[in-house]
Amino acid sequence: MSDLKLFLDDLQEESQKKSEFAKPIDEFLTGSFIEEASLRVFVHEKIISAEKKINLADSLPRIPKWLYKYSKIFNFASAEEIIFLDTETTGLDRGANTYAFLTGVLYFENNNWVLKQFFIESPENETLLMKLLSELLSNFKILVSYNGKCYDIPLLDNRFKFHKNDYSIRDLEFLDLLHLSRRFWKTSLQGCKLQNIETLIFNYIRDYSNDIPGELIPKAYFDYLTSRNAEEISNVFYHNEEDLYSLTKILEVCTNLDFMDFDYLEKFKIDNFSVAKFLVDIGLESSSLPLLKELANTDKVSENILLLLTKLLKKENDYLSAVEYLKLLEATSPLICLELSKIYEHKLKNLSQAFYYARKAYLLLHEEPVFNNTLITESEKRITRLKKKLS
Amino acid sequence: MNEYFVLDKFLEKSSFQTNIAVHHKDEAKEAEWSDIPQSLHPWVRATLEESGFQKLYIHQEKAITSILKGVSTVISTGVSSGKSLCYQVPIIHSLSFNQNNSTLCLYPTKALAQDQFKSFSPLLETFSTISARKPNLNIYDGDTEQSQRKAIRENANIIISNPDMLHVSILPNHNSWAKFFANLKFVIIDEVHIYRGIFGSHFTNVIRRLKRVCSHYGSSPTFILTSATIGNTREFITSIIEQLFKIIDKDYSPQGNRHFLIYNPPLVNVELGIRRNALQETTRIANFFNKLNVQSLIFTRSRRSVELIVSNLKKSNSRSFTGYRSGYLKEERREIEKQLKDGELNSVVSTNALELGIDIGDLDVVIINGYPGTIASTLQQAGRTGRTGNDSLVVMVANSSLINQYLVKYPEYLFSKTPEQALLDANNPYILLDHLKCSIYELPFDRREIYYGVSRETINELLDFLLDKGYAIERDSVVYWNTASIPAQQCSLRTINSNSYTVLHHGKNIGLIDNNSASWFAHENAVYIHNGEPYLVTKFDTKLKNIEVITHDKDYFTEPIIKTDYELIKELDLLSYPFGKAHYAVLNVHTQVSAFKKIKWSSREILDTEELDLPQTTLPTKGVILTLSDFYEDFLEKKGNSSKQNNYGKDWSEIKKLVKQRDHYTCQNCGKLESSVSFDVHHIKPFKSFSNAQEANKTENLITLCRQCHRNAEIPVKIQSTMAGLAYLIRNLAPLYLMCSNSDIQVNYSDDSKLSDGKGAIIIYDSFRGGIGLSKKIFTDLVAVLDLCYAQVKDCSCSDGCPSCTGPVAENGYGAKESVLELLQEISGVSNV
Repeated sequence: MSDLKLFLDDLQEESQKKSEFAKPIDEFLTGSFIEEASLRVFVHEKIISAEKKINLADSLPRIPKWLYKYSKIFNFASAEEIIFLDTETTGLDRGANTYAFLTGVLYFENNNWVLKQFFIESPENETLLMKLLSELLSNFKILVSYNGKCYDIPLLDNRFKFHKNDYSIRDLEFLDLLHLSRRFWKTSLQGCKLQNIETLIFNYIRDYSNDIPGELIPKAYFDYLTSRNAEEISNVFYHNEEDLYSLTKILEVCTNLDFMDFDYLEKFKIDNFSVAKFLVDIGLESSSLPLLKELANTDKVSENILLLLTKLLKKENDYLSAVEYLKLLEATSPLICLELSKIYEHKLKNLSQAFYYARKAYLLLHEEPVFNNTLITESEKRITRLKKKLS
Repeated sequence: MNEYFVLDKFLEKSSFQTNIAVHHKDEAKEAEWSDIPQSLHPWVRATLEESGFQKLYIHQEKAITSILKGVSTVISTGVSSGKSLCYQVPIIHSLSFNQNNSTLCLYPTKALAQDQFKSFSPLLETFSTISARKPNLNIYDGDTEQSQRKAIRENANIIISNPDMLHVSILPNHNSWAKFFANLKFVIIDEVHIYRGIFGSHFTNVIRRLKRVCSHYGSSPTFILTSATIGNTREFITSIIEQLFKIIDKDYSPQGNRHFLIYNPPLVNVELGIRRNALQETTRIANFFNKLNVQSLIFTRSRRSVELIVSNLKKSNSRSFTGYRSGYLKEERREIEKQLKDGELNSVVSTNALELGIDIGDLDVVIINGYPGTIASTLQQAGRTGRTGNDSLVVMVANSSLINQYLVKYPEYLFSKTPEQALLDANNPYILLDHLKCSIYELPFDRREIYYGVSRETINELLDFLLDKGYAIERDSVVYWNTASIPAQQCSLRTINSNSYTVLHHGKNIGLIDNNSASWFAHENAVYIHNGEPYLVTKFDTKLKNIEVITHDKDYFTEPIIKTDYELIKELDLLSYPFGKAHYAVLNVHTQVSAFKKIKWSSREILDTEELDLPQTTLPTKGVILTLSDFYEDFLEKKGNSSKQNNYGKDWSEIKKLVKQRDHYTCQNCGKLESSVSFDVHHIKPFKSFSNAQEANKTENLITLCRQCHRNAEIPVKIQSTMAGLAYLIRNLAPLYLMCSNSDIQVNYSDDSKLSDGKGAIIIYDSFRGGIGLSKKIFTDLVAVLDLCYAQVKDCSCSDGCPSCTGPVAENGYGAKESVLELLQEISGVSNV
């Protein structure tokens, strides 16, 4: 035996068990192979049936004006210009060995939603997959994804370059629904994982016996490459398909969103305050104001709502209204009391009221379960100053 | 300052002058100049002129011309000979033609990277002004903010980094560096001599991977390397970059007279041959130059001795001095470097941490406390003085160890022998396998690919292994990485554990101690010294990795007592030879701080020894245990050179009593009175040198000494045993045979080892967790190794042993050369039958 052989035996590593049952992907899924030179890519394609109810094509033309403000791509969006995309990869890092072995897309064609999933049975076929993908993507203007801006798009961009493919994915417009979802659901959900939205917002339960948890996907593919048994891979196809449906649903919820329609917000567990804040952030204060006023008069009223409302009212110099709204929560909130004290002191020049609310804030602060030293000191200073002014 | 002044002042003082054992002088020489090459882009020539370079040293011009032709080039000229300019000029030259061109600069440490960044920046700025181009110069290492990394990757022209970062971050993510790699023109490897031994084997494999990634992006960079003087530049660099290159090693920079003195501390007890403590003499000399306002750098071997010297300087009222060693905070170190450069510090006491090329300006004097262990290292340290062609002075203070005293006697060993060779074995199977994994991860591996200096059979065998074990799959002769793990993250280039303890003084972080040495440096009740300031350790928190200290005002410091134990875990193989046995086994090497001594500052008297109950640190490794057969043990005993304990005869305890009585129970060297710790009776002429005990035990040959003085007195009369001599020889030759560095493999001799039932044994083990195949090779090739040993001793021209063969010999001692030679002769005679 050679020295090297002795050395390798010495390492005492277990050999990988050879699977006796190679089962190719087409035993589990219908589809066809696209071949070129000695390479091939498996394509699973289907027209989405009516029961999946993707209504986007109808709702897209009714996109509310506020969405234009959020992203200019909504200006020209018609269903035919949009492609949804989601990749399944060999790792979560951005290392050199991370590539997409399955890329699923969903698009609207001839009045139907079409699902296409491109899969490679081994890594050498990636170069053909990238070519097919580049040909398809160049027919669209907008790519909709979930966390695509940070993940799928840079990855694909990299892999196009790796395979010396000239296609520039960066020429597309991107809509990353993760960013939009965070706006609406960050406070009501524990993190904005796509599957959380799916189950908690859309009340949709996947067929878990057919699914695979996302973090196990890289290993599933590596296992498949050694065993050639595609059983688990068919679950990855299912997972990918379901993710794509969820994307369409999120976009649909957004396009139909009327933020004054509280029932709608309620139905999709969209936090009202988040919407109001979102509107302010994208420069639609005039739309946010009526929403906030309306909210203030319901049982949804909260410290945050009143403070944001006050901020907007102050800009319009409407201090009297601000004070009226703030008083809704003066009994319980030290922050509201402090705000009242400020407005009375500086704007309405009513020192005794200012003093009254500063003291009230001070007292309420001492009832809070968590001692807030900064605020206590602030209110103490305010009280001392007002005392001086009053005397 | 005039160096003759410095030297004269030093020699003027008779208490120094009389102890100078060696005065070696290299004559001054003028600089030799060359014009700035016309082939350089006009912007570059303008940049050089603007920066004050009217001419170049000849070696600079040669290096630049060679590099411009696309020839990889090694610059191995002296310290301060303008090596950096040799690569900075080609870089800006290439940027003049194409501003997308990129360069990767690798420095062995982050500190050096910072330093080079600072030194390159002004030249680059001048270039920018002249050319209106704005090349990006960036450091990319572990300290680079995550938020900046993307921008650096995408816009980089010149990246300053280190091998570890290249290995674990840049190469495995080369896809994010596509533009950088596609345009890569130069790879700079600074201080390449650092990459020797196992570290070098890793490094070479990283370079293989780098080249492979470059060729994927269609670039093939020119390598530019700088190196200190080593014994085998061509061979070494060939093994690092595995391609053709040119060596520029003739130095045309100006040099002043270089004075190298070896200072031997005076004998304080002539009869016993005990010399004054070297550390204290070093302090005295350092203090002398300090008071003269002469800038000096004091090199010493350990972190502890740095602090002892700094403390001593403090006690002798020196001005503006500081320590410098690993464990000081980063900011603190940068500040010291700056102050040194600006001339604000008179004396800096440092470990070899300042040996590398960090720019610290021109120093007047270098003082070396004890031989640094290698010629190369001595030259590096000495090179820190006289940097700009001025005269220079180096004072090396010899300590009492055999090797130091040998150098006093035979200084030509230091001045005429070529420096040590730098060796590495890039095809060590452990290392090769790890990096092949990384390679496959980085780019699918084609079986038809030529993988540098590795044979196709070896590669195929390793690939088959990786396929079989499920790391990879193969499609049409191309191998693809096939697990979710990132192999580079599971392979570290260095053995050094980067984790460390934080030293806290009233909650303030004052220093760091690496994991490995924390327990002996700063156990509870230890005196931890930081920049000469003593602190007492009150808490050693292994969970939080904190060491809490308070100010220490007592007149003592502490020294740990470290116990090393070998534990045999599993015997893997055994080979019997006529001369003895070799076991190959899984070993645990335990080291433990078992106690510590409290030592009085002023007198160095041991005040107290306290036991400690600290967990031991264990190195699980593989090793060889060599023992002699009874026949050879007897053979050695007959020669009077066995390692067995002396048998002083049955009357010994009686004689001892008499001698102590005669000497009034007083140490005859230091005058201390015997107390709870009993004193020793010492043979002035060694016991082993007599043929019988009666002769040796004559009272005129005996003297009462305290334990400390006894130890000191034993050194100059030491008789080396044959097995210890053989161990010394193997320690010297094993790295050559294995092409590793001295610290990669440990060779120890124990005359009473648990591993060999109390018999003497030579224990050889790898310094790496789990072993890395070094001692394994010694085991399988034992006969060849012993033959090599034999040839070495036989051909060595020394008489009784020297540092190159069985070890240096004590002034009045006996070496083991002859007996080792006889033993090896017997052994090789047997093995050749």
